[in-house]
Amino acid sequence: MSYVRIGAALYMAMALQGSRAAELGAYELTAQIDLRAVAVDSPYKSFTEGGLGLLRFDEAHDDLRLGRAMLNARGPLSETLWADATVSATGDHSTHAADLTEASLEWRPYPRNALRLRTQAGAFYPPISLENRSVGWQSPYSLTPSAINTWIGEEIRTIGVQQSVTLIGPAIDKPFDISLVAGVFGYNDPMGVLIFQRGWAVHDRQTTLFDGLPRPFTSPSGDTHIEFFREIDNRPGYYAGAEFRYRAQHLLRAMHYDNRGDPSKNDGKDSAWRSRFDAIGWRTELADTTLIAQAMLGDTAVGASADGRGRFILEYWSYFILASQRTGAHRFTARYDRMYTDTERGATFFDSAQTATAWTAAYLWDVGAHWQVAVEAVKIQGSLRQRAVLNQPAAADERLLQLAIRLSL
Amino acid sequence: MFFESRARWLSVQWMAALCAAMIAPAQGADLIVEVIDPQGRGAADVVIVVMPETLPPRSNATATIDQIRKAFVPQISVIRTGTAVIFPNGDPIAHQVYSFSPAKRFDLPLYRGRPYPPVVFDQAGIVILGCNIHDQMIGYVYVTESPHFGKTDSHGRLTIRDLPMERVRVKAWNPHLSSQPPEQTVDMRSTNARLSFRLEQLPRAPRKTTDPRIRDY
Repeated sequence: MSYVRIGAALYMAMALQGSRAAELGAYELTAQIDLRAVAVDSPYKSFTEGGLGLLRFDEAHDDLRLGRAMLNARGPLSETLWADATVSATGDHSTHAADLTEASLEWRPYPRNALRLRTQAGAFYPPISLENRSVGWQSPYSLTPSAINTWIGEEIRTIGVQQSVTLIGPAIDKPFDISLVAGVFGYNDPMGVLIFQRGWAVHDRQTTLFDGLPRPFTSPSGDTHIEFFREIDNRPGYYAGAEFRYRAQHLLRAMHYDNRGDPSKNDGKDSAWRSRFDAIGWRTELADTTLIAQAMLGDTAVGASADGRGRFILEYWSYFILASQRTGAHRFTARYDRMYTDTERGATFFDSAQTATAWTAAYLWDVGAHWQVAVEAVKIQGSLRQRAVLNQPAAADERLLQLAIRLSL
Repeated sequence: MFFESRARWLSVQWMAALCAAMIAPAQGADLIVEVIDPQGRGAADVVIVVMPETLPPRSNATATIDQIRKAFVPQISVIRTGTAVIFPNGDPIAHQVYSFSPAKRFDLPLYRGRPYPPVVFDQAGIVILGCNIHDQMIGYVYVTESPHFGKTDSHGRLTIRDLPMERVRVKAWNPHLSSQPPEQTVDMRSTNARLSFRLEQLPRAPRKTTDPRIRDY
C-alpha cells in the first residue's frame, strides 16, 4: 500500500519538474519526495498505530518508509497579496492520500516608513518554532524536530488571522528589529488531547488539516480517532508575542498562547480542551554555526468542573538546545530535548505523567541542488506512566536510526 | 560570493573610472585614503567621497546592484546623483525591491524573465534598500553630488585619481558604524596627498547564513 503511494508521489514530483521549466513569473513551486530506510528499537507501538511509543515508526513499521511527499506553491495573486499552500503525504494511516498542512493568504504591503505590516489569514503555523524554517515547515537542521516543535506540528495550527508589525531597525539606523505579533483563531479545540494521553513525542510527521491520529485511549464516547482542527465551543483563541532580532544574527522570541477552550463543552465526538502555554526561544547564527534553545510551559484542561477550570488538568513543559554546523554542503546537528508532563487534577481517574529526555544527532548532505542525503539517530529515554494502564513497561529506551534520500524540485 | 561581488563592483568602478577619464582629461592629482579600525587593521567597504570646491556637470552614469542568493550585491554602493541603477535580479526567485528613504522612494518588483527599467537616483543622500519578499535583505546606496568616490578594499585602502588641484573635503561612511568619522580636508596641491581615517569602533556587518534551504517562517 505504502509503496504504491511512494510511486505515485515520485511520479508527481517528476511531472512537476516538467512544468517548472515553464515561465511561472513570481511563483515558486517546490516538490519534495523523502524516502527513508528506518530501523527502530522500541518495545512500544508507535502513536501513529494507536500505541504509546513516541517515535513515528515502530519495530513492526520500519524498513523502507515514505518520510514525506510534499508540494508547496507560493506566489502573488497581486503585487502585495501572496498565497501559500502546502500539500503533504506521509504514507501511513492518513485518511487522505495527500492533504493540506497549510493554506493561507498574506497581505504584504510595501513599507512606507520604518514599520512593516503583515496580515495573514487561513491555516498556518503560529510563529513559535525557531527550528522549522524550510519550505513545508521542515527543519533544515535535522530530519526530526524537537519535542516542542513536534507537538506544534501535531496539534497546533492557526486557523484564523494574524497581524504583525515590525520596526525595521536599519531604516532608523539601529542594529535591531522589533516585532509584535497577535493572532485570533478557531478550529483548534481538541488541542491538548494528544499531549495529555501520550505526552511529548519526537518525530517529523505534521498533522494535515483534514486528518488526525488514532487515539491512544478511546474517548468516553467510543471515538477512536482524534481530529485536531475542529471548533467545539465557539470561543476563539488568541496568541500574542514579541520578537527581538539583533544584527540579523541573534533572535529572541516570546509568545503567550491560549486557545480559550471551554473544558465543559463536548460535541459528542470530542471535548474542548483549554490549552495555554508560554513559549520562549533564542537563536544565534554566526555564519555557518547555529545555536537554538526553546522552552515551553503550559497546561491543558478538559471536562466540566465546579470551578470551570476542568476535571482533568495536565501541566507540561519542555525545552531543547540545538547546535548545528554547516561546512559547505554538509551539516552536522546535535540536539538535547527534555520533556515533562504531570496530572495536576484528576489523577485518580487518569494519571498522565511523563519525564523523558531525547538526544538527536543528524548529518545532512546536499548532493547538488536537488538531492539531499541525511542520516539521523534519535534516542529517547524516560517514562510515561499511562503505559502501565495498558500493561506495558512505563519506562524504556526508544531508538531510531534513519537514512533519508530527499529529492526537491 | 565574496569574490563574485568584488568582481562586479570592480567592473562598475572600472566603468566609472573610464567615463571620468573620457569626460575630464587627467589632472594628475591622486589621493590615497586608508581607513584603520580600532585594532589597527584596515577597514573594508568604507565609502569614501571627495568633495571638490566646484562640481563638474553630471554625466549619464549607470550602475548595477544585483540580487544574488537573497542579498544585494554589492551590499553597499556609492553612486553619483543622476546615476541610473539597474537591478538585474540574478536569483531564480522573485524580489520586490523598495526604498522609503527620503532621497529616493520607489517600489520595483523583479519577477523572473522580465527586464525592468533602471531606477534613477537624482537626489543626494543615503538610500536604504529592502526586499518586500525577503525581509532580511538590506542594501545601502550612498548618493553623492561628487564624481570622486569609491570604497576601501580588503586592506582598508582606496586611491582616488584625477582630483582637481585644490582644497577638497573628504568623507568616510559605512552603514555598520553607529557614529561616522569626522570629515577631513586635504590640499591636493601638496605632493603625495594621503589621508587616513581612524574608526572609534569596528564596523560590524552581520554575517548571514547562506543555507539555501532556509525560507523562514
